[in-house]
Amino acid sequence: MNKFIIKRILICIPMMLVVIAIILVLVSFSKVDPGKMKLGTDATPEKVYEYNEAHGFYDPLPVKFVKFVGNIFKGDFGISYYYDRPVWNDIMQRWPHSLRVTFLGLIIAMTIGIPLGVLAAVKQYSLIDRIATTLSMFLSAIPVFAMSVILMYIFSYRLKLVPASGIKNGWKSWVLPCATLGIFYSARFLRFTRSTMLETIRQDYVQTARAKGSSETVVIWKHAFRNALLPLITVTGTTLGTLIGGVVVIETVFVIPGLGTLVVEALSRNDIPLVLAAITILAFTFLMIMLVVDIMYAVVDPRIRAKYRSTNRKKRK
Amino acid sequence: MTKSTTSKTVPGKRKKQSGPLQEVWKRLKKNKLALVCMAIIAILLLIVIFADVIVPYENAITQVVALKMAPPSAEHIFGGDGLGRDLFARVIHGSRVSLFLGFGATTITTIIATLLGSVVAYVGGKADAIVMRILDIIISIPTILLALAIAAGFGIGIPQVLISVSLAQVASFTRVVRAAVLNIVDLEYIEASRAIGLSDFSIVMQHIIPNVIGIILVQFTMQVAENVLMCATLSFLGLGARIPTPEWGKIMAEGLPFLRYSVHIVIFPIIFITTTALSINLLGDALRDAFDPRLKGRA
Amino acid sequence: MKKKRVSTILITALLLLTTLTGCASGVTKNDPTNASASASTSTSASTAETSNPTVQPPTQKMKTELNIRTTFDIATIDPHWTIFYTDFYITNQVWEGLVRFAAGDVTKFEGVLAESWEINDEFTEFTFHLRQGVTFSDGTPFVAEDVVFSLERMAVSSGMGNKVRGVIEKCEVLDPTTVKVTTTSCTPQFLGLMASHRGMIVSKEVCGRMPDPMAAIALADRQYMIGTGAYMIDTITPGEGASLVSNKNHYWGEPYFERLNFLLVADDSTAVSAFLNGELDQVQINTRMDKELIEADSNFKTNEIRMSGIHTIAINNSVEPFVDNLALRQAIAYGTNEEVYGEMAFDGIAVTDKKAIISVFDEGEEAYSEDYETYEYNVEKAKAKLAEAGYAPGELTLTMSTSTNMVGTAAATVFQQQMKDIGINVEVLPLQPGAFQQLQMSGEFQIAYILFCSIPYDAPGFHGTFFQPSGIAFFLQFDNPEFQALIAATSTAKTLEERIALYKEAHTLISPLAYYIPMARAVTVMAISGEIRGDSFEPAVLTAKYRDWYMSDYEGFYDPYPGLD
Repeated sequence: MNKFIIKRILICIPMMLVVIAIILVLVSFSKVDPGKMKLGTDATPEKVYEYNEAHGFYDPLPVKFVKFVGNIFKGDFGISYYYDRPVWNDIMQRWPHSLRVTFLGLIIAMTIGIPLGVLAAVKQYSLIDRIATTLSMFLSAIPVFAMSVILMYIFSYRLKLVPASGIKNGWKSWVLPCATLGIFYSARFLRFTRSTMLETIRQDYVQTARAKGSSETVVIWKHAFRNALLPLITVTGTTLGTLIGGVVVIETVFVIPGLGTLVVEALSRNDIPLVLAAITILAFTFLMIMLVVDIMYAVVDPRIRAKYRSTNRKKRK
Repeated sequence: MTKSTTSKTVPGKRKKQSGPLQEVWKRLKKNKLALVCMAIIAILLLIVIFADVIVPYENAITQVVALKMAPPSAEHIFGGDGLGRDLFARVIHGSRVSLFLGFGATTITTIIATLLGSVVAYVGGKADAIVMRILDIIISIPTILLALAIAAGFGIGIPQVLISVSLAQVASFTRVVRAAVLNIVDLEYIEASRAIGLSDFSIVMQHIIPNVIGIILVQFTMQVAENVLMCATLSFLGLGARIPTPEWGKIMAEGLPFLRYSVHIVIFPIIFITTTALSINLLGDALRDAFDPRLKGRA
Repeated sequence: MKKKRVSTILITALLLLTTLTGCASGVTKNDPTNASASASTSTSASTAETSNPTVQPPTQKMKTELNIRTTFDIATIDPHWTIFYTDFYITNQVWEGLVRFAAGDVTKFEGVLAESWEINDEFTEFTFHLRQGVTFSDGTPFVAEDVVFSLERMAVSSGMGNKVRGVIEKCEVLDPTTVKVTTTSCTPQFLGLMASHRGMIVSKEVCGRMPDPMAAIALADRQYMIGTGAYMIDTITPGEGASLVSNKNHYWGEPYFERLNFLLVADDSTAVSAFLNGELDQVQINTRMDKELIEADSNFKTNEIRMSGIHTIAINNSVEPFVDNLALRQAIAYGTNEEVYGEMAFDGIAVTDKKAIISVFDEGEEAYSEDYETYEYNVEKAKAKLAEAGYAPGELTLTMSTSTNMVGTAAATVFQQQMKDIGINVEVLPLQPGAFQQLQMSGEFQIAYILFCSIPYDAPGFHGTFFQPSGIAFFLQFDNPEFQALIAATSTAKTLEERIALYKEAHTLISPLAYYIPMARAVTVMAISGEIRGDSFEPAVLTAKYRDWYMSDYEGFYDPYPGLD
């Protein structure tokens, strides 16, 4: 079991390296010159050359790659071409905002989606079920940015309840972004919970539990739901993964200075250290989440654990 | 109540294609909802094809001062956008780009994934493991960031969006195909075909692929809806279609600065996007149910 | 079962649609009842005022902090090295120059650190009599040597803003209260240079403590950011803004506002929301609807500032197909409809009167003229010129570079449409602001939408920068030796009249050549809180001296600094 975990962790490292390499190659095609960007109207060719040289912009790709990766192991993420200060500063300043939106949104989504999903499954075909399913259908068909815009219009501009954008208004600024994400992803949780619950409810062991005389609540929560946990973990993991990518959209619409907008700005300025660092962190987080999901999956499901007792594994997806 | 039989239970019978597919079609027709969705999708496709007939493209790009931010009226049923262009014309012509992006990216993904997934599942072994690893790496870069990185390097344009989106989806699609193929590869009649001396290539093309068509079709449909939404999102962020070409996500981005004053610019694209995605999703669900009625009742 | 499902979905869909479309109605207007109430009190107050012109300042201040929006992050807080507007806003409060522009008039000057001055007839010798008893905010006395040092420092600072390099021959201290500056040639605009952002005076003593007195002050080194101005730097937070507190030692007395907060809000919509909420006191308005909304609300007021700036279609005259192709340029000129630009691209916030937009400079500025030859909007002529240039309709495709913000894309889209009408295809290339700025500097474009401005006001500097065939920022890249000669002659002209004549001749020369095509004159609209008084924006430098501002709910005038003249 531990072998599995260690093996998975170790594999992440070469994967990260490949990701960094891919991004580096893609971004290297950009024709934007960071020295000119920084020096602006001050930019004489000599000065530009000097600036770029000092920041390692003219290093060939492999050198850039090795330097970047090597520095990470030393704990240094490099100096931003544009801000001329350690990349870490800007990332740390903006990372908390992205995290806040992502996690709060996720929690709201789970709080709405999971109980409703259970309810819908238990009372299948009832009015609640139909409304819930219909709503979740709709929510999956509207893109996140569209929902953000609609909610912004209704709750900020018409009802004037919350600020439309920016983060200067304390906790109120976060209501709309987190609520948008929460409502949007609750649909996913609702559908998954509902379908897995439906499946497990039909299983024999649930019938057995009922036959044994356990109350309905116990049956639902102790038996059925527990078994639905497994796919739920997977869904949580994948949703978190999608959120990391989608955070750019929320940050753009609600003007939140987070990691997503940082990537966009850094890309437009060809600020390679910043881009690499930000994407490394995002990809790394993503991989870690997937890893945790896989591990929990293995831990929770005794069948998989049993498989690992045997020598050869043949994982079927 | 499964009337049809899948190749699983009756091995050795070749040329199963016509049977199951016709069964599927019959089942699909019985589903009223599916028919409504198909009708809606058909209407959308008609709009895409006959956009020029419905309203000239000129209206979508000609700026009229009087039309600037105009609310819906009898003459201009969707009103005017921020630059005085007829919003109805823009939304209608925008459907071309939006649907082209969505369908196009999915088609690319399907082709790659089908070939890759079948071959890899069939061949198995080391190649299988390596390819799967590579695909895992690609998914660890979020789609939007991948699209942004490609745009940074190669500029803004429709091909760039197509490539980013199709690449990002290849991994999951390939997995699905691979799983489906794995189910079939072990079958006896494949062994039999090999024994007769059919080349691997023929086996893949003639036996494996036709039998997984059902799964591919369902996955394709689900993927199209997702891709239409993703491409709309990327257009919203500024990638994809160039000025002045309309696209649903782009129209919404153009309307966002004026949101304080009026909502009509963003409402109409949203209606279209939602209807499209919803119909395709529902159709995909119905298709899946039609292919395997045992799965009915699941979300 | 199926039927119910379908109907449920349809009903829910209908409900959602109705709620959404129900919200889709017109413009939100502020509640008018509030407005009329405060209006009536102010009118009654003002009738009381006119009978009693000077009133004592109210004992209790309405507000002690002013919140000002900025659009860019802080780059450099050093008066001799700043380039960006955000930084100018701040340095303009902390440091002062020898003179400043009289409110709204760039040909008249008021003394600040200089009480009076004499200029010789050839505009080569400027003698300033300095104000006595002035100290820098840390107590260091202001002495004549500071002026000499500052001029030296100005001269070595680099960048587009450096207009004094090569201009000053020598600067000498005649006595502790007098400084004489000798320029290398006739420099009628010298006072203007001293009044602009870069002309600020720093302390020789304070800068002497820096490792390199001539280098730019780093953002972290607040101990060197010492000026004679009414405000001092309190905090600088990269990514968020800066906060300034009033200088208690200021010779004019303590300013009304005790604290100035410069807040970075990149997004226009967010800024307007914050302004309407009262969280910001000053915001630049870019859309007509915002302007109408704010003007309709008597809690706010707007300042419209005509800028020495023109929204331009800048042509790169050194690349194909524009090299030696006058007919093509004329085609574009004839095909340009300024009114549409004004309405569509700049949302009515621009001046499109043809006479007003030919010259980059505005009325009153030395290179201004209404008489340059213009190209009227005439599609037929445009098409004819296109044919003359050798292109069939639809044959030519040009690429216009622009920035991704709303104004930039709107301008480019209008351009594309207008060119289509005359038979030229245009590809629009939107670039992020950083990349776009770089593009302008490097000149690697075919056509671009550029806002030409002469801020701070400086005709020679402007020409020297933008109208050269090469250099740091050579947008138009045209090579016209006659023009260069005329411009060069302006720096040796003996009198102002001579210079004005030279500029006129130079621009009369190139106007018909359509090296650049004006879209509209730029106008900046600043919205500020309604109770602010004494507000003015110096058009030439486009900032304000917040020391002059105060707040009052009386419409009438009162002098916040009764002791001063």
